[in-house]
Amino acid sequence: MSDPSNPSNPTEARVRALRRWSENGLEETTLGVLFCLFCGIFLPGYFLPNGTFLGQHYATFSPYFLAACAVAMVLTLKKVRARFIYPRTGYVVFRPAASRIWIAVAGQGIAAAMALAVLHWRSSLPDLSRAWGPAAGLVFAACFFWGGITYRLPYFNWLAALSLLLGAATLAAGAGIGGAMWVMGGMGVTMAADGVLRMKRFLKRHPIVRDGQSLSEDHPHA
Amino acid sequence: MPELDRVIHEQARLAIVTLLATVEEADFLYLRQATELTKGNLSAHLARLEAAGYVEIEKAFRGKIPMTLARLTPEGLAALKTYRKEMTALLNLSKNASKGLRKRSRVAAVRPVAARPLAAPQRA
Repeated sequence: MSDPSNPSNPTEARVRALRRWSENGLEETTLGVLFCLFCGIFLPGYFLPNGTFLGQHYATFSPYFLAACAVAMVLTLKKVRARFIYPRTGYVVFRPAASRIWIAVAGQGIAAAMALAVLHWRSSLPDLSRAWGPAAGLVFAACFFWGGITYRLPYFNWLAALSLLLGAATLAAGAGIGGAMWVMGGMGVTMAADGVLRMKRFLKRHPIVRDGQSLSEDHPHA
Repeated sequence: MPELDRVIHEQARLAIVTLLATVEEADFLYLRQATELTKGNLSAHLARLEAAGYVEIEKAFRGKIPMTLARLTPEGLAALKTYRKEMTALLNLSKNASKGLRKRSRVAAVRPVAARPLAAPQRA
């Protein structure tokens, strides 16, 4: 074993395992494509004229369209993993981290509190439409910084810096509520491109292991 | 003095159990790459862990590919937790012992200087 530094620490082992797992770029590509889909589906709603049928009903149908795309993506992801990843690095299902569940619950709580606050004070609040882009950039940056520190992935810091830059650009351009979508789209394209490059490198570096699962008398578990 | 679990105390088995504690399940290939053990070694250690009831082995097929899935049992997880607790207690014991040793050696180094008699006045 090359790294027996702290094998009894499950947190350290998990971080190491996740870093190893994120080498293939598949998660990054998936998230990037999902952001692009989100942007591609919701952004046209801001440009459609209100009087038309499409303009009136687009917002109603777009979440269903996004959900259908997400289901199709999950199915594709399963097939891609089975075909390209498992034969190379093996099959593994990670346990959901307790911190992830806690963060999800806290995030939902904050979002609900903010929504309630906006609903309650909306008459006295100034126009916040310009703040959507920078706010989305800030949220993205915070998530990337957290991921970069937790999983020790330095390139996440670049993604965080890019999301801040995109947020600032939407503010300078005077984009309204659509600014958040532009930030999401920009991040989606970057992540998808980076993920594809990472995956290409991964496939080149990791050949398919043919004897990994062969059964023999000497090694009954091999 | 706590007695360490010999099954887990071995380095390779400790790595396997620790890895399995972080995942729901993993196959033989993943474990082999993550621990960097040879096929034979990993197989032998898994057999030992299975015999101790710490790991559950399941032969399965993913499409046409046969795979050996390994999962940590609740007994295995409990054993790992106990091992960590006992190891931490032992390490704390050694930490305290070395602290005491350092303190004593500091006192021993200071004492002769304090006890040294004053030099006699030199004659002109």
